[in-house]
Formats: sequence, structure tokens, C-alpha cells
Amino acid sequence: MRVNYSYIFWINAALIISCCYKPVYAASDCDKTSEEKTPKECAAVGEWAFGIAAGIGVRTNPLVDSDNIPLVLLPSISYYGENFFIDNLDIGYTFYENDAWSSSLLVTPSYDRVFFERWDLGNIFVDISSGLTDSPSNLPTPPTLEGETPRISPRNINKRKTSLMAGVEFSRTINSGLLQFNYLHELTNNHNGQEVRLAFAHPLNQYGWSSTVGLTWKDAAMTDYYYGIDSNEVSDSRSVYNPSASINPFLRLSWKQQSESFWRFGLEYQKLSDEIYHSPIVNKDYVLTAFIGKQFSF
Amino acid sequence: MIKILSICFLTPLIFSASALTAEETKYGLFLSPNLCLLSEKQNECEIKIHLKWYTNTPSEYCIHTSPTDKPLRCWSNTNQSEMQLELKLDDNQTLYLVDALSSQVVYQQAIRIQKQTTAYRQKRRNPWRFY
Repeated sequence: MRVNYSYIFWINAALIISCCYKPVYAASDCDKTSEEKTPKECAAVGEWAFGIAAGIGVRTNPLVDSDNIPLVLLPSISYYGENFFIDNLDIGYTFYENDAWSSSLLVTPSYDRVFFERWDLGNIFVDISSGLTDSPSNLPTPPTLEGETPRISPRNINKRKTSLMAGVEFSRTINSGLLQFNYLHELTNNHNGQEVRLAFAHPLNQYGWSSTVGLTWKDAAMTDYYYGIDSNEVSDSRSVYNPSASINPFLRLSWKQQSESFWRFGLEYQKLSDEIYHSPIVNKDYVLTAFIGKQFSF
Repeated sequence: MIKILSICFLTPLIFSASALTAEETKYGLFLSPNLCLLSEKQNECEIKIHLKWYTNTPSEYCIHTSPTDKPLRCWSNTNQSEMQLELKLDDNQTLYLVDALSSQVVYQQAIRIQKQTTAYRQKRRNPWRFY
């Protein structure tokens, strides 16, 4: 008998919520006595917040025949209820929070599709920004060396759909840094895969510089859905590719000016695992993202 | 039988009691509205109040913001009246109906000021995300 772990997960989630419900702002120090902390670290409950960053930047696209995407205008949107929140494309429910810990249930898109689709929402709310050129779909296959797996344009294979992931998020403040762990399971039945997101951010000095190290683990089903090639997608059987799980670490350097409308800078290098890099539709083993611009809040 | 007797004897008592209560409750000082909501940015509340008062005996009555202050308005030889009042308040305020002849406070009612406060909570931080 096959056990559907999704049901078990959601039953457990419901139990956690019913046991732990309380307004989370009561536990944090974002109260009226700490107004100097608002609005950068604290959000008003029940109010929408809109922002936009205007600047210049780029994110490289590791897919074959795909252009890098310029980053110019990056909108942002958020809403915080007592426990509920919307943070750009993420929707969540914080069921426990104190000064050190925060635990939430989360629904978030998988960002892999942004490499395949120029106007994916993830390319607008820049969590990851990349896209393909608008060139015709029947591009010639790039030349390959003898014995090398033929490279394939992602335009010539089945479309990869957006996957909605749901799971838990745990954050822990360590000194002035933040360690965050996400365990996510796919909801939309594209691949039923799982993803783990792990990151640790730490300020470097009092001038707004910080560094972040992290990784994304995707199980075999998820890696295969986006970067695998099935036999029905290609005529050349050498191009069939079924990767196993992948781990993609990243390193980021960021800077934020300490003012209401502030300048910001980010530079991120993500190393793609060999499981992704060896895919016939991938020709780079990294994703580089850089942006510098001014953030405005409304 | 006991049930019928109870209804016959107790019913008039209940009716007379309720009539007395209605008579009593019509006397007093009534303010509408009696609550002023201030936003976080406001320090002062500007409020228009409809004031009514009823007493059981005619006399000379005055409305005061404090029993010893100068009256806002007085009425002679009446047991009821009403008026519109415009007030600017930065704190709770009590209005007094004073019998001018005896200087006794007959009724008093408060206008409450309630400041709306915004609750804050920690913004979510997501270090995994580039931006």
C-alpha cells in the first residue's frame, strides 16, 4: 500500500496550528515602544506595503540558447496579518515566534521555471531572474564535440510548468545572524518532488554589508522534472537524461544603505550541481546575479 | 391551580416593576456619541455631541465641563432639554448637569477618547532569496 505523505504532512500542520495559535506580534519586540525598529524590521499588522527598486543588474541563465535577463525595476509587495503573511510570491502562516525562533507554514513557487519562461512571476518579483530569448523555437542544436551529450534548446522540449511548493520554514537568530531552513513538498502534482532551502546570513559590519551562504537541495523527482530529458522529448536517445537529486550551494555579498529610501547592492554566485550541469539543456554550471539600485517604499 | 394563582398574583407586580424602571431610565444626561476615536497621528479630537437631559423636577440647570467652572449653557425652570455641543478634546472629558440653585451635580457623563494603535510584528526575513 502506498502512503500519501502529503496528507500526513497537512494533518500534522493543522495540529501544530491548532495547538500553537496566538498572535505572533505579542512575542516579538515590534511594539510601540520600539518605534525606531519600524519600518525596516517590523511591519504594521493589517497593512499592505509596496515597494520598488530601480537600478541595474543581471542574472545569468544556465540554459542553452538563453539570454541573461537585465534587472531594472524590481517590485515588491507584502502584507502581514496577526499570523498570516504575504511576502512577494510567498504566502505563509507564522505559528510560533519569539526573539530567537520563528516557525511558519509556507506556500511558495519553485523558482526553477524562471529559467524557462521569460515572464514567469519569479522574473518580475526577482527571487531568481532569467529567461530565454524570443528567438524562433526551432533553433539548431548547438554543435557538440564527438562523444559529448548533444545540447538541446529548452524550446524544443516539453514546457516546464510552475510548481507550487508547500512546507515549513524555521528561522533561528544566531548572534546577529539568521539561519533559515525550509522543507517544501510540491503541491501541484507536476513532479511531487521535494526541496530544501538552507541559508545563513550574517552582517559583516555596521555599514550595511552582509554575507550569506546557503544551498538548495532538490530531490530526484524535482531535478528530473526541470532538467531531465525524457525519451518522448528527443529523437536522439543520447540526449535522454534522468538526473538524481541535486545540491546547489551559493554565496552572496549584500549591502543596504541605512535609510528610508535606500541604495542596495547584491552579488550572488550559485554553483549548480553536476546533476543539473550535465543536463543537455544546460551549458553553464553556475548562476551569477548582480544588482545595484535604489529601493523606494510606498 | 397553583400555576394559575401564580400568574394572577405575580403578573401585576411584574408590570408595575417594569413601568417603574422605564420611568427611572428616562431621567439622566445622555451624550451621543460618547466615544471619540483618534488616529495615531492625531493629538486632539474634534467632536460634535448631541446632549439631552431629563430630571424629575423643574429647576435651573446648567451644563459644565467641571462642576466649579463656568457653565457652557443654562436653562431655567425646566426639567428637560437638549443641545448640540462642539468640543476639542485631548483627554477624556466628563460633562456635568448641575442644579444651579443648589450647586449639586445631578447627573454626569463621560466622553472617552480612544487612540487607535497599530500593532507591529517582525518582518519575515528570507536569506535564501537574492532580494
